[in-house]
Amino acid sequence: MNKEIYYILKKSKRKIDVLMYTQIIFSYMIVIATLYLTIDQYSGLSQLGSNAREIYKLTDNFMGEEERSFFSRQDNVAILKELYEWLNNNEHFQYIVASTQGFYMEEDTFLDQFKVGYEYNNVFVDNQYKSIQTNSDFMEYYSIDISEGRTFEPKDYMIQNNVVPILMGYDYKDYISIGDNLEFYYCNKEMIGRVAGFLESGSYYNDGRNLQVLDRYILMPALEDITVDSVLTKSEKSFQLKVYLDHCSGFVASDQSASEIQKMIAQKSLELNIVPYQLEGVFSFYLTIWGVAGKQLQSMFLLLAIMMIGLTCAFISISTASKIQHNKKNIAIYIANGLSINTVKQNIVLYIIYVNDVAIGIASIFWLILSGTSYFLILILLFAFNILIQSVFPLVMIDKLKIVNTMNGGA
Amino acid sequence: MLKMTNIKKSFGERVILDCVNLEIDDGEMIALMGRSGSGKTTLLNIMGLLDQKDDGRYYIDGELIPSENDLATSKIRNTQIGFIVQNYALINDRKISYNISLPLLIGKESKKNIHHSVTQVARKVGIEEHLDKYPYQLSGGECQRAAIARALIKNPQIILADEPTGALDEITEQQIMQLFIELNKQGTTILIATHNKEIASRCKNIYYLSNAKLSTK
Repeated sequence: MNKEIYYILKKSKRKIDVLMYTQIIFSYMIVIATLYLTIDQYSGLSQLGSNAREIYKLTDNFMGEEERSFFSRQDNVAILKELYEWLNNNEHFQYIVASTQGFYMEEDTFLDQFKVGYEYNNVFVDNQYKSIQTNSDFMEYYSIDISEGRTFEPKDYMIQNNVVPILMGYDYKDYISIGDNLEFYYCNKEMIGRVAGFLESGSYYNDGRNLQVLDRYILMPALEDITVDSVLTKSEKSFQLKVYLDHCSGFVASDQSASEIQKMIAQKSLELNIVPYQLEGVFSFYLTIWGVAGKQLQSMFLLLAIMMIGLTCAFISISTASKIQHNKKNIAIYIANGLSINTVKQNIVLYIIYVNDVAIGIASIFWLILSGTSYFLILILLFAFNILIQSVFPLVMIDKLKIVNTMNGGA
Repeated sequence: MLKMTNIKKSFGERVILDCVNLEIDDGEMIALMGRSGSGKTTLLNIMGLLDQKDDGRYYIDGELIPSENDLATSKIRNTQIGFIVQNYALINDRKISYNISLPLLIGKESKKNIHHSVTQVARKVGIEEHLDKYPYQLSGGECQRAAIARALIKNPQIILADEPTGALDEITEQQIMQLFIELNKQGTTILIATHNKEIASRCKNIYYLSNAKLSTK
């Protein structure tokens, strides 16, 4: 292909070119930033199950005297166990247990960075470690993956003794190994946790308000088959009561409306003769590392990206058209001397590709260095779309070029 | 050699060419006369394959020209037609040698051939010493000679000249016309569109374009 017109357009420097390149590079960077927000952060979080499914937090309504009375009757554990089993095996929704009882360890097993202190009776307790007790639906809903070892198995939830498998957050990797034992207190009960595996780095779940990254958490299976027996000691019954209370304050994920689920739960509560548990909305749709603000930021970036791409298309199109206008006499001379109009058009498209290519290249490299991500396929598609849009006006100009008049210095 | 039958062209409601028939034999020198806006340039554009006719047939050397085939028409423009316009149509930021060689460059001729052909044709039109200059360094007459050299460089079937002396003074006009006559004597077919009777009178045949019709009146 004869590339004379391409070189003419490329050589034809205009003051506006610097502004144009800056604007295009900036536009592509905004687009890549938007892709980063929407693909890596938002779509990546689609592993939180179907985002179309609503998620609700289940809370008890034990208050005041009623609460004291309920907790004083330790036999009520059987009621809570029945409620939990009903919730856990319900066909109308997915029930997710994510109890956040911390683990207390007497020894300084891990560095301070893993500890979460709290005040109790004016004493600061600092050997507390972040932990959650999860059921199998939790692992499935939040797509919790293991980087090493194994995940929880069905039998792990049915353990009745005090030796349980535990999964360590990714950050624990350098401090403990698979098969090691940890002694800790869970709801005041002494337990032995045997490390079964390590979570993938960056695993997370939604605690009802925000995303919680699990890198410094210890996961324990929510014990589902605790023997409820009147022969048990008082402390054992107290433990069971605490465990089932936690189990029953989980999350409900369902396609059904909140009122329908609430109706079912209220009915079951009345059946069990307890104050109905209540559903609370969770920002399930806004599950990003920034919470609700993240979603708004995404929308803002998306809008900005669309605007910038629109502006870029207009800018490149007009700038190319202006260069054609500036060089139209020369272009007409080439055509009159035998250059085909299709070749001229190919040259123009080549120039537009060149302009976009430079800008997208710089923006991609910059973003790759900044975030380590690139979106090659999507950018190629966007690139092709932009070339198509930007070429229309300049090509129409060539079709409308009056060659002899133009050669003579006319229109 | 060149034949047009029933050529029609309109711009909107306005009929510019209405069933124009024209036959030009090898070695002819024809003047195409008509008032400003009579359609001379439009007819030249159609002959030079720079504009499309609405209807009619156009043959060069007995072959029907596929006027809608961009590749074919550009090749014909490159090899068989030389175009000269009033304002020379030279690329100002390129040397005269480059301007003259343009049809050869587009036709992807070798550098050696280009250099040889450019020197030869420049000598023929008398601008050999100006090859390394830029158009803005030359007089109007010299620029027009450069344009003629460019039109001649591929030995085309015909040279189409649209008001070729319109921007020149009287003396230069005479010199350019003399050059056309000499080129014609050497066998080049030339068609000059002009409204200047003096110019037209120096051609062998004169055609008149009036009310969208072509006649030899």
